[in-house]
Amino acid sequence: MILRFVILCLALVAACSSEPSQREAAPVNVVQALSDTENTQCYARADAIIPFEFPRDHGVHPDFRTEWWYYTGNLTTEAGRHFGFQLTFFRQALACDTEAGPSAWRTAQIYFAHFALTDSQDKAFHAAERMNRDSLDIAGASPERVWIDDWQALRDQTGSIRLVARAKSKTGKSFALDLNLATPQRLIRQGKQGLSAKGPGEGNASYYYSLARLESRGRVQVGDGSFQVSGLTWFDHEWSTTALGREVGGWDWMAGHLDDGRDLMVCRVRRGDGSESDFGFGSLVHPDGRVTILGQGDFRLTPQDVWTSPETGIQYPSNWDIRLPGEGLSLTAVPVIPNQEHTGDFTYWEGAVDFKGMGKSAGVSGRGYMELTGY
Amino acid sequence: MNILLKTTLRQSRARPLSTLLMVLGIALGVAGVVAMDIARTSVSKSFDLSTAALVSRTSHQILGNDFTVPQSVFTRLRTHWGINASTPVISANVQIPELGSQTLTLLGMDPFSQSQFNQDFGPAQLGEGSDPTAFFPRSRGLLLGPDILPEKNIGDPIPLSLGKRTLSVPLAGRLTAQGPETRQILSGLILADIALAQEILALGDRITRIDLALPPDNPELVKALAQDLPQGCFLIPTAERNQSVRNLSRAFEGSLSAFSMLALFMGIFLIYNTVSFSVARQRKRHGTLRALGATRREIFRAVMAEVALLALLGSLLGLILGVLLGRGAVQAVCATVSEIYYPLTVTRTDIAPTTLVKGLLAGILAALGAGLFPALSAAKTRPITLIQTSAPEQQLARILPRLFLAGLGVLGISGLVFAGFRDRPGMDFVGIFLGFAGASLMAPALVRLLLNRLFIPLAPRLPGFKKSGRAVVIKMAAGNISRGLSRTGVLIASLMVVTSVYIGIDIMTLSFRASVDQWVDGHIGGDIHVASADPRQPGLPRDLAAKIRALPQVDDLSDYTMLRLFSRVSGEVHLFSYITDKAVKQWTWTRPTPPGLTRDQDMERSLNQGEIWVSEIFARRNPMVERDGVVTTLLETDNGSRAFPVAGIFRDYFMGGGRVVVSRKTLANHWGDRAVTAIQVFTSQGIRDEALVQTQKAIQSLVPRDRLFKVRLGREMKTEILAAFDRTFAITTALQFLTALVALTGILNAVTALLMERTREMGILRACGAQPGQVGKLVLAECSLAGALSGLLAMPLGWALAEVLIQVVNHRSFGWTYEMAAGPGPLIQALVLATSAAALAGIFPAFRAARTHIPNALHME
Repeated sequence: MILRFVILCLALVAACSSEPSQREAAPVNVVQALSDTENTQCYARADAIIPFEFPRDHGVHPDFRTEWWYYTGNLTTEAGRHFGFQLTFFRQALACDTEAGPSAWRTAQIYFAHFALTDSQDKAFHAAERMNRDSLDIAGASPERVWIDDWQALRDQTGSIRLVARAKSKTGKSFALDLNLATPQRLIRQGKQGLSAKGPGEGNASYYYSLARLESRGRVQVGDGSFQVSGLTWFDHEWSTTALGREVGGWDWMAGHLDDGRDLMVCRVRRGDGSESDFGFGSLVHPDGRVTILGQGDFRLTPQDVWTSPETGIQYPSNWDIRLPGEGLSLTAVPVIPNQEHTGDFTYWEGAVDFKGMGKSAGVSGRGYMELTGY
Repeated sequence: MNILLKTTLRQSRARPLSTLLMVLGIALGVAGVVAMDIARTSVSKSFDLSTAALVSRTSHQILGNDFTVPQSVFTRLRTHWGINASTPVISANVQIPELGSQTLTLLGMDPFSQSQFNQDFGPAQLGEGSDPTAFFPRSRGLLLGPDILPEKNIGDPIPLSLGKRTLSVPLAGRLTAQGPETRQILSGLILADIALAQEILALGDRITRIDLALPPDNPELVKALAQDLPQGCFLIPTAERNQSVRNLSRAFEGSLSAFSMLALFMGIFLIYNTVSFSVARQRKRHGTLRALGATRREIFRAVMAEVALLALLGSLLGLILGVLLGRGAVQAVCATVSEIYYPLTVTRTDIAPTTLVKGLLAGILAALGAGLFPALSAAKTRPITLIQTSAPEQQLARILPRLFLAGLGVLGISGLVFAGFRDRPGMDFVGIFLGFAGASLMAPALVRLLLNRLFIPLAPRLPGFKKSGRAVVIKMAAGNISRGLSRTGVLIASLMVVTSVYIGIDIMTLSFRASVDQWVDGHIGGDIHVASADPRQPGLPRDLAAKIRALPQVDDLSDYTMLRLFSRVSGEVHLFSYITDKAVKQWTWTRPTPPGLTRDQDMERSLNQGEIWVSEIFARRNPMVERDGVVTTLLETDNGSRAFPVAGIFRDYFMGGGRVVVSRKTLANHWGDRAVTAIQVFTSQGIRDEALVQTQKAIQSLVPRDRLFKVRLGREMKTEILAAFDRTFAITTALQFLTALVALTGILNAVTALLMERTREMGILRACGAQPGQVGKLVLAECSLAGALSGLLAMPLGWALAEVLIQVVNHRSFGWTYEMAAGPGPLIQALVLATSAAALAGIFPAFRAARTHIPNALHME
């Protein structure tokens, strides 16, 4: 889930230009891209419940226009040093009526990926991005593997996943991740058995499932430092064609693993004028593995503060108050460090947050990730 | 304003013709310098702009020995090495039939990986109405700059031709350039998505190269990456690659700068000649002014101020003229570079500020330098001697032997420069300059010697001399020249230098043409040539040679494979492997022939044993290593770089980075078993014209219809090749023309000035009873004789200059050698040129002299 989106223009113009202003001019709001209904008739749509079949559905759904594989998690060293990470792969079909031709470079599918590492101790946020077409196996997705360049998520026969990425941030800091995620225990079909409605129109929905509480173990590298880490990872896989209604302006998404064994995901969808739409969604996994799917009326998200990005000047809501009256759950979500803003080709805020609050009978806390788009 | 300066300037105005001639003389000198320099810098700039898409700003490039790289290398680079600052590139030269012979670069790019680091195209944006999706993801259209076929609309088909094959590709969009530089780069570029470019060029699973930016602080990565590449692929630092691309035309630019130096010399000579005459002309007036009380310093200043003013005027005019001439020259030299070295997709006239400054300085400094001695002598001499015109002659007579010896000394130094520093660029021109200077110093003494010891005593013995009744006139003319050497000497020396340049260039061009002619006959002597006309499929069908051989009129054939190979040093080399080689080679070096074998047998044997033959150009550009008597050189094979022993070096004018001949076995071992790419057919003796065309048709019917072939007559090809070489020398021909113009202007100027000074003498002659016609004839005779003397003296100098141009300048610039092969033609032509230019220059002064008004002329006392 990202805010801004590059279509060809950006790449093309960037290729021919050294003018930074042109780079900025070209990105198109992803919300527009996701709600755009023009020339989308040729794609498949998420308009009916389908039975997910694994491992097939871990792979790519090229008939749909947009798809992403989203890994976020919180890791700590034995000494308690905390790192948050995000490794996300996106696929976008730019056309479904491409020309035929013998060149292996021919494709309409492009992939891009974002990799970020939050270092709470050093109060540092490192981010990098990749983009390429899926030709010649430079990038692609299958049930076993999603990759672009040497960033990849590899799934073995047991379902265990290995995440590998290394990059250099804009400031030249190198950072890397090599993480093994244990075989998933909690698979959540979001929305109605995996059909997640996001708007009023037909096809304003996506196919969406999550893997919660993936036990993670591996190594994190920042600069010259290398750290043995362990923690929990959240995975989302979502594909759609015109997921959003035309009036949508952005969304606020957060997911966390609470220390009482519950896993929470909530998302508020906003209209262009900033007001909340009727299509919020979420899920709560109970310690026994039971899943409660949440709808618009089941939770309330209220920002308590505002953080202004020193780089882009964008104001993001911060320190959220999360209430699930039906579950007797009341939490606050506070970023581990304020600046976790992606300022690459698309600008959005996505970072590690601490959850704290009260359950029905006792205090709860946890860690998770939050994504704020459309600001 | 100073009164003296005022009178000086009034004098200039009062004699508009001579003032105009002086200004024109300076202008022409400056124009030559500027035009040549513009040609040189423009080639350089056009080359840079044309290769902007080729020479990237990245740190390294991956290239293949056959100029292609498997595209899987890119995948490995991304997925294994994680080097995301890397982009695949496809580039090739194509033409658009509607644009005539202009070559454009078809650049196939991957917009996604490209965005990692920008190519330096400058700011360019998609224009209005463009359909970016036709570029990508549909990969079916091209992007063009604003200046290529501006009348075409988005969606219109753009015809592209590759050899004889033409395909039509829709226009996807226009790129609009911000800034003239970007616009010019775009005027030579056709952009396509890499998929489309690969299909247009039928490259299969290969691309042209990969550009990558590797971290500068990680030499281990560079090393590891280089080792990881498949055979036949190289990781080359971009700077090195850019250099080798640049080297392609650097030599030609070197020769252009040589000619620009030559133009500078001539310019300086012409200016010197013009100014010194102009100042000398006014000796009398300066004497009068001194007598009236003007101080030396005032005279000096007034003279120099006039010179400076006219020099400035002339130089400015010269700059304008030079720019105009230069613009014309740029087209010619760029066409040459395109034909011979690298197709220039952008032709740009580049007028560098330094060029203008150089021209201006050459004009003003040469003029001031030329005016210095006459001005000094005008200022230093006592008034009475200034009025006496004989004073300088007496001085000159005294120093003539010393001048001669000094000239001899300078010539000697010039010889030493050639002997000692011939390989240093620039030094040869110091040598030429010294040679000119030495010869000029010797000229007056030689003129006197020729006239007094040879011409005056011998002329009367010529049959019919006395009867003609012109004896007196000619004798007087000779005497006048000999006695007036202080002025005629300069005139003759200048004309001599200019004429020698004419001779030198003429001999060089003729010799080269003769040599190329011989080479074309020896190497491309077949009557009919067969080759593929589709660069995507260079190979000929394997059975074609046998089929052609079976034709009744066919006597023999020469068939071979030509392969373009990447070279780290010279950018590219051409590999030839003959099945039958009918070429006649001129060896310029071979290793010693073992006893019992003829050289030809030995060369053949050595080739079959895996040794190679290389061309002179190859040997000049690529390192040849000698160890234990064996000379080896490196070639890029399919299995990496490999050293091959060299058996011999042959004279060759094949363009590109040089030529290598290997045996079929060597070809198969190192570059794979490749099909023949060209067949030269030798028909039976006596087959000409109609019968030849019939054979051509018969061959045409043998080649498969689904492919494009060139089946051409040898004589047509020869004409084309020779025309291409002639175009190479277009610039030198232009220089030759300029030389003639300089000669004419210089002598016209000098003669006019000289005769104005001698009005009184003409008056006396007329008073003594000379007929107007006789006075006119005397002037004409003097001029013609001076011209003829210049022409005579220019012969050895021109010959020597030709030797230097051929042996030193050409060899260093192009890497080829040829023997001087010119009969007396150029020498006689030059003699006629010098004499007739001088005679022509004398017509108007002779006419004036004939009309001398006796009382007025004598009244001048």
